[in-house]
Amino acid sequence: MRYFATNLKGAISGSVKLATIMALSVALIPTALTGISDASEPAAEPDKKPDRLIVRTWGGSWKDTYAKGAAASFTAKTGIPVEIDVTSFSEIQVKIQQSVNAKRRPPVDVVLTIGPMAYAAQVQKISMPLDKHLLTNLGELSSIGMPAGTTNYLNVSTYSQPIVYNPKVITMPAEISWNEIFDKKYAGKLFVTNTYSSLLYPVAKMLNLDLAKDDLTPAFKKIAELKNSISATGDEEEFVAGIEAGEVTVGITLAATALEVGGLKWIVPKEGSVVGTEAMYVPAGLPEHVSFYAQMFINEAISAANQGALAAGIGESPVNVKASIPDFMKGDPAFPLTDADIAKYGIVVPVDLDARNRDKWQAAYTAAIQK
Amino acid sequence: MQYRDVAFGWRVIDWIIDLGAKLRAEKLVRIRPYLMVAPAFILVSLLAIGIFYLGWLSIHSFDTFLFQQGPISAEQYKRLIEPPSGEFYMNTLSRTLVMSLLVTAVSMVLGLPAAYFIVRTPSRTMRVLVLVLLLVPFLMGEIVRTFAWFMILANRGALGWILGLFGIEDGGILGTPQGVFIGMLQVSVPLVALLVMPAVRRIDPNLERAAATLGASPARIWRHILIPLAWPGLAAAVVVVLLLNIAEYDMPAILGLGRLPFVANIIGDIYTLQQNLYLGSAFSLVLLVISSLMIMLPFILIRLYWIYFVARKT
Repeated sequence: MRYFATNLKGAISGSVKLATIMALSVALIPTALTGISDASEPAAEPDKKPDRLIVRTWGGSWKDTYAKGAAASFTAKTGIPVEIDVTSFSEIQVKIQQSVNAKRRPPVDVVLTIGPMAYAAQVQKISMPLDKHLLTNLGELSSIGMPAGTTNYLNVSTYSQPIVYNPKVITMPAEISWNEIFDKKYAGKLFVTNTYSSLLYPVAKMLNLDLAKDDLTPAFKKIAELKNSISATGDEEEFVAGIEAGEVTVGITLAATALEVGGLKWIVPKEGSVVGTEAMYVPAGLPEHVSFYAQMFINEAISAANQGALAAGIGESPVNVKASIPDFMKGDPAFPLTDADIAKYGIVVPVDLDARNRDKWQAAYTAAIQK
Repeated sequence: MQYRDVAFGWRVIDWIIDLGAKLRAEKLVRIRPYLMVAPAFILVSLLAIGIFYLGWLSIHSFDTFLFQQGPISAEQYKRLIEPPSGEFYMNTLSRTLVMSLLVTAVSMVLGLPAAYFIVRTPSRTMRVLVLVLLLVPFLMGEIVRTFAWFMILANRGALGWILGLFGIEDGGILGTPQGVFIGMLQVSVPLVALLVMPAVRRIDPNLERAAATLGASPARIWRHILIPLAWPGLAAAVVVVLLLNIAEYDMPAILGLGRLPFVANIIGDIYTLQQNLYLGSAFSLVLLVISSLMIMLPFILIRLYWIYFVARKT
């Protein structure tokens, strides 16, 4: 691999500069997609390369898929090895905030996180504006990939959080409302995530509450009715452990997690299920040559080939319109692929609303579900 | 050929010997004790700086969205007691303290006889066997140990299987206070035994024999000889085990299935999920003050007891 990388490095620097290729390709990007920095001069390829690029992702299939997909193709093109870091998405954000404030180099070079966190990072100026010249695959993104107004991050995939159940233990009607999980028959067997969005948004929609305008106390009171039914809370790992230990038979989690566990079924209630985004950003305060290649990594992550691999590997819907779609996603409301699908089956909350209220809603949600 | 300073190593050794000689010099004798405690003092000072920083954060308002510190305010402390989350935070605090005290008390009851058995048993094999059994939990990492209990206590684990033989479905105790209690106890009992052992070893066995010869029952011997004489070890064990239990994180998270959080779990959530370092700092300080008082209170009471009752009698 090192031999190959060295040769590739020589081939690139000996013939056509990488930045030149990018500058030529950028002409293909539609001008409508312009939240991202559109510097008149394409960024020059730095003289030196970083020894490695540290990319934060989730563990498990996320780590494997990114390692085999975007990281492998990035290394093949640049000769720079990629190290995957699986620090918790919320913990890494705190570390970056502290690093940027202390004017130290952030612990990672690229962050894969959830959309609202990437938006908060942009507002807090702990991420750097992305350079359109380096993102040659930008033109292939759907509107979800690069929402209007974003300058410092790109969405790289979307996920949904339907109701997942173990069909060997319980059955569920073909069409349900979110009110179903409040049924006492699920008492002691219900899993909910430890983050508010997966349950607060559906319950608010069920109660016809406007997240932006209304007092959400009734929604938290409704969620608190589940307090004695919940057998476990946590992240995807805790859901899987709970299912395997027989402590959980029904829960709210990623459709992708249910797919990975196998033998589970999922259902999108009539109100829809939360559709969120995973996004990538480059922390502020990195040396210039590192941030250059960090953006190149993001460009690799949104390429059609790697987006197809991402969809197949972790079961999240791609944002590159040219990406191949795995058969299991087609026609399944838990994997909304188009704007129309999302409008029909999804509950989408604006990232700024989510990010602004994270502290308040998370505190109220934790108090509502915990004993 | 490049010049190499072959005597460099010897010169360093000479320098260290010289330094040692100077330190032994009479004029340095007086400050030597201070030099010896200096590393500990520096460490404690650094910790004090950290605590001061927590205190500084906790008395400011904070905008988590903009990540901006606001003016000095009691906002964070108010959030810990006022709706909508205050009741939950206080429940978590009381659960942490009650459970820690309970586990510590039961650990003392079980750990002291274990230490006594190890010290007094004439069988070397039994002594080694019990010591190994006590040390096993410490030989594996905390996460491995906790997940081992997860496998035992789950509905589909060993406990669930055994209870299933008697027709009891879903008999696992994961996610219950009992499950967390058992997991914490399994770490605390060996710790108490190991901490108390040196104190028990220092007790002259002839004292017990003499008391027995004079007709004292085993219970009286424990009450009037063993426990009072083992007191320094017991006190150390109470402090260590109670503090470790108050700061417990993994057991409530894993064996409690996230349903019975301790303060450490909630502080973790506040820091990471809410991204609120300021509220987390306030809760950390509250826990620190309360646990310090809990540790100090028994010692103060015992001291007062000695001053006003025992000393006056004698």
